Amino acid sequence: MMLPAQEMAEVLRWLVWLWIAGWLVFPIATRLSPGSCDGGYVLSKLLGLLAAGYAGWLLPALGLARFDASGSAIALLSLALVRFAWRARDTVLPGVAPLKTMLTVEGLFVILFAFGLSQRLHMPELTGLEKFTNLAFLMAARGAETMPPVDAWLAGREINYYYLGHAITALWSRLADVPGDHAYQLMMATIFATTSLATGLAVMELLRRGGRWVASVCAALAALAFAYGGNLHSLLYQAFRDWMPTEKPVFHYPDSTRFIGFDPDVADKGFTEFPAYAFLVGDLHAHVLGTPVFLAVILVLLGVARRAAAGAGVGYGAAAALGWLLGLFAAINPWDLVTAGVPALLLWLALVGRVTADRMATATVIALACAAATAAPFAAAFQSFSDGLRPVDARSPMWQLLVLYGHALPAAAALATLIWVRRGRAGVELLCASGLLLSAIVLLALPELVRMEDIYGDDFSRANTMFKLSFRAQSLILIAGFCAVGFLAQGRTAAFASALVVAAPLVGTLAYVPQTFTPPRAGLTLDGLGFLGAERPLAEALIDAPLAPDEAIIEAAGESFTDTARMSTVSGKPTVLGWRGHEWLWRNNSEILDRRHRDVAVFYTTGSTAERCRIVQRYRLRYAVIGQAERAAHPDLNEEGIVALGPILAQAGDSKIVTLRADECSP
Amino acid sequence: MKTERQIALGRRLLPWILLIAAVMRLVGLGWDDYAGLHPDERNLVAGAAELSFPDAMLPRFLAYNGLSLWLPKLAAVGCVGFEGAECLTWAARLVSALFGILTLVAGVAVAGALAGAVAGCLAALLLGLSEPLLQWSHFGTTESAMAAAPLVLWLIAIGYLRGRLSLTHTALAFGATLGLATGLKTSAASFALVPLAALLLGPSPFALRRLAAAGGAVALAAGLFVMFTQSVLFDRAAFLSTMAFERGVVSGAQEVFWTRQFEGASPGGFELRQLWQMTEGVGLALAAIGLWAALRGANRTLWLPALAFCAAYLALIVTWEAKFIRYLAPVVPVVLCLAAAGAAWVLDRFRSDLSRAAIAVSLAVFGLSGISLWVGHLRPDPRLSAAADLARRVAPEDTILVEPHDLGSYLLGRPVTLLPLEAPPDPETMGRVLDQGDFMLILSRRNWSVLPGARGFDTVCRYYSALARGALGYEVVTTHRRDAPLAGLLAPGVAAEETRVVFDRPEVLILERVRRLSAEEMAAILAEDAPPERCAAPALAAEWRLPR
Repeated sequence: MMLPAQEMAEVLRWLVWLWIAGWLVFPIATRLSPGSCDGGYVLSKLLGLLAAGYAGWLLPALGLARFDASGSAIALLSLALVRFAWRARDTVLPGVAPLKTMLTVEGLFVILFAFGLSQRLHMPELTGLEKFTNLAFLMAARGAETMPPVDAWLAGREINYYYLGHAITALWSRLADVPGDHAYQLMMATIFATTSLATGLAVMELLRRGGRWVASVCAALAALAFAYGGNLHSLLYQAFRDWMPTEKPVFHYPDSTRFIGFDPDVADKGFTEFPAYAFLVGDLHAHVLGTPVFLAVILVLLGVARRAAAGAGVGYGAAAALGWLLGLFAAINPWDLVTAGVPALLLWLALVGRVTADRMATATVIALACAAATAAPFAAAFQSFSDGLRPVDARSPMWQLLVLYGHALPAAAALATLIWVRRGRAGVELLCASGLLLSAIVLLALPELVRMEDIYGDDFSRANTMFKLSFRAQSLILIAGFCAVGFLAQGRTAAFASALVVAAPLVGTLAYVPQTFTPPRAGLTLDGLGFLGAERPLAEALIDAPLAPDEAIIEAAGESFTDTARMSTVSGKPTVLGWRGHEWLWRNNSEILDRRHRDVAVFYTTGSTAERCRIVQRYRLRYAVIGQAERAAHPDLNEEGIVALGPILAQAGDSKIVTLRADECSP
Repeated sequence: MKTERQIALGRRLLPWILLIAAVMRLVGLGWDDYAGLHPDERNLVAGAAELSFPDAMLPRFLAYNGLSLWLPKLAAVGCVGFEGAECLTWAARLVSALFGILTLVAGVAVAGALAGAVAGCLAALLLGLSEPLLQWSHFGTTESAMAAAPLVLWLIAIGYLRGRLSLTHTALAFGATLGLATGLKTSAASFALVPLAALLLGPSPFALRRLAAAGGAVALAAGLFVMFTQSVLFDRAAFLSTMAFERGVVSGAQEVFWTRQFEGASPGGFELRQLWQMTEGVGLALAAIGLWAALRGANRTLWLPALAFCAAYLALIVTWEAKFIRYLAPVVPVVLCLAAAGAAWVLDRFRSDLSRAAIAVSLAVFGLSGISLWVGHLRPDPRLSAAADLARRVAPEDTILVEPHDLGSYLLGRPVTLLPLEAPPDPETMGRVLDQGDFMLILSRRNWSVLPGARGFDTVCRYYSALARGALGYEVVTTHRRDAPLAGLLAPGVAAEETRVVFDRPEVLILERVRRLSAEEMAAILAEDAPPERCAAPALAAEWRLPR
């Protein structure tokens, strides 16, 4: 088997609950996808994943319930109530998908899930890049009773980051009764599968009038390119490397995401990541967690466009759903307010004049109100750490933009030509595809004009803006591009030949596949904590150890992307200070962090029990970690002084966790 | 949705809205476990505690009139489960809650009578979920009664002007209401503008019958006032002295700490901003529409008594130096009735999906702040949790520094050292006091949002600027807030008059002296110039929240 039996059982539980959540919201998804070829089934999987998580998070975020086992129950009960109420009102549309549709989609989903999981589990350890950060959020949320959770890397303070996606993952880990690190892996696979499906479905929806075969092939290629493909750089710098200007000897998979400013190495650097890279790297970061929401928005927008084209105006339910999804972005990945806002705005502009003013205005009010209401519980506790928009100081060389995104050009030309040829008779599908490509172009152009001010140095001033906007642009290019292929392929010989020309660079992005594709195999494991090595027993003991809501642990504090803060990360239990650089980004206050860093050093090295006890009392410390990272960070560590404060909770070789007895340090 | 459906829906919903709003007023009275953390209420309760029948009938605390003290005293008979000051506090709040319910019912009746059933239902929502009305209903002071009285007088005026009340009944009702109101607070005498306006608007206002009725009403009111405020007769000097002091505070002649927050406030602009915040903006905007519709409508005459009163009353209080929002209590329900009428007018005039959506969103925004406050009142008071937290941290020999004029330090049950903030201190004095401390307890923004900007308090400005940055060696180790939903978005900001926040939902900071600077070092820091913007309330609020 691919996984050990117990882990297979976890996977099955996860998949069953996903199916249940999708079934609960199916009536709503059907209503949001009028006339869609799958009856809204794929959308129901996306919405079920998100709605279950949001419903379980909402009441704790409002302080009206605890985020514990009851959170899962609240989530499911809420969805069940919504389904019951919806079905009571709407008995026209089916409450369940046709069996054939269900089996087809679920079959595709399971296959994609298996591939996504095998890719993730190729290197299952949750260390490296931002996996540590994401695991810390996830575990903090999993152990939390209130929302926002206490920051595992800054004891006594709440997380000040876009944590909703991690909270949703934490709720799912409780729902399916899987450990937090296993939930991390399963969520990555779920996002891989649902978003690949949704990408394919979007293409299928826009091409279905022209023939099933063409639509299916284009949809499959789009999904494949989304899941495993790169950008045009991936093709050019592998297949045509000898002809391309480069300072690097060989192609390495991050090169397609670190091109502008890196090759050649200049002062102005930009990140140009894309979904396949994100799946390969395996960071369950905000932009990855936002991908299901983004694709859901695209599918809902397509539904709105279809409904409006059929003369039925704009549905208020769709407006509310769009608002809810946009509100989710504010708490999961606010950059997507722009990336999803652009296509939404384009559609809005297209509908003005086609739908009555009262209906448009009301739908807009409903969407905005729902977005604000959805985001409010998060916004009430969040302090923004961005410093606003600034104009850019530099721009990307055009040739590099063409190298990265030139695969969109033939599609753009094709869509423009089709619209010109069919002017006045262009169907809603052609207009939607064109709108998506136009959105992609806008998203790629924006980082050449403005940037979000943050703490990254001058060389990387545009990097984050470019990263977040181009990440979504890639998805839109694939959907619109393969639609262009499909539109042409439905025509006669010349059009069909044009389709091949348009398809070539898009399919060429699959040159990235050797970097990303990992077939399922036996002997994998969901275990992401193998990196702990000999200290694993300490982490396991700490995970199960009791800790009051205002108590904390102490372990070595350090800079980002180091071995420090590992115990707090894997247990979710807050430490005095974790990765300092990340906390500086989120809090914008180095003085407090410096003081905590000093306190941690004092705790581990001082010979004064009184001084150590002051720190114990200040942070309400319950456990102290003495391990490899602590000894490395504090060569003159006073182990005897720490051990004197209480019994050993767990020991593995020289590493240990000390339980700090309250009476040893009581004032 | 057609108007008939709206009316039918409104009629079905109205009893439920009233019931829920009434429950919200009666539940949540123990927002501070009856520890007496509202200073005005604490004084009132202390004054009521001194009364006894028949030995001590004359109150010695005269800032409130006799009925304000006797009503809680009588209501305290119903105390179950606690006694003494806690019981009286509960009783005072119960009386307020009942006045709050009266405001609700009267407001619904007024709006329904003047603008229709839909307006009545909307008034129930607006009055029921109004954040200031809910807050006042949970305070054992007189704001709730001061909100109810003008509405009741207005309702009587409507009955009179419509010919549904006889002249005699009208005079009796006016007299009784005014008498009871002035028996609570002398300033309620200004409410006489309502019956006066009604009399002038009625038929033959100067006819002998009507003048006699007016005289009778005045006599009844005066008689009730004297009956409930016997100090006017038997302790006149003390009563007049108290009134003179209150008048001095109001006019600015008497300098007190609580009016420093109004330094630099623009007359009219400050009140308008407070009204805007108290009604979440949408309430005031809808009230403007309602005012326009009322003045053009068929029931214009029936609106005028309240409008005339509000205009005159606002013109009066705008001239005062003291701009406490409690002086707006008589005006808020009138504004909300206008808002209800305005919303009903919009729904009826436009009859579109957009108008319904816009009104629904407006009401949601308005109502959320009231609901958030109410839920917060069901949660522990932050001063209680902070006191318990601090008790766990301090050693018996530790010194705790506290700020003046904040209530709650007595919860620690141990001596504290007062920071000499009020008399403008010099750096050396501040340095010496700070050097004594091990912990500092900041119980609200009462001092830091006011003193740094006050004239002559430069050292205090430098002090808070340095304190917030951690430069004096004291750093925030924990923050306690009232756990209310969406408080981060809905709770009043630093621009709000302090009584909206300080009394029931303060942000409590516990600071620990983590670095031991000497008194001289701290004095040197306090002697350095600090840019005024660093000690401005918004800057300090931002600092205290970093990290949250």
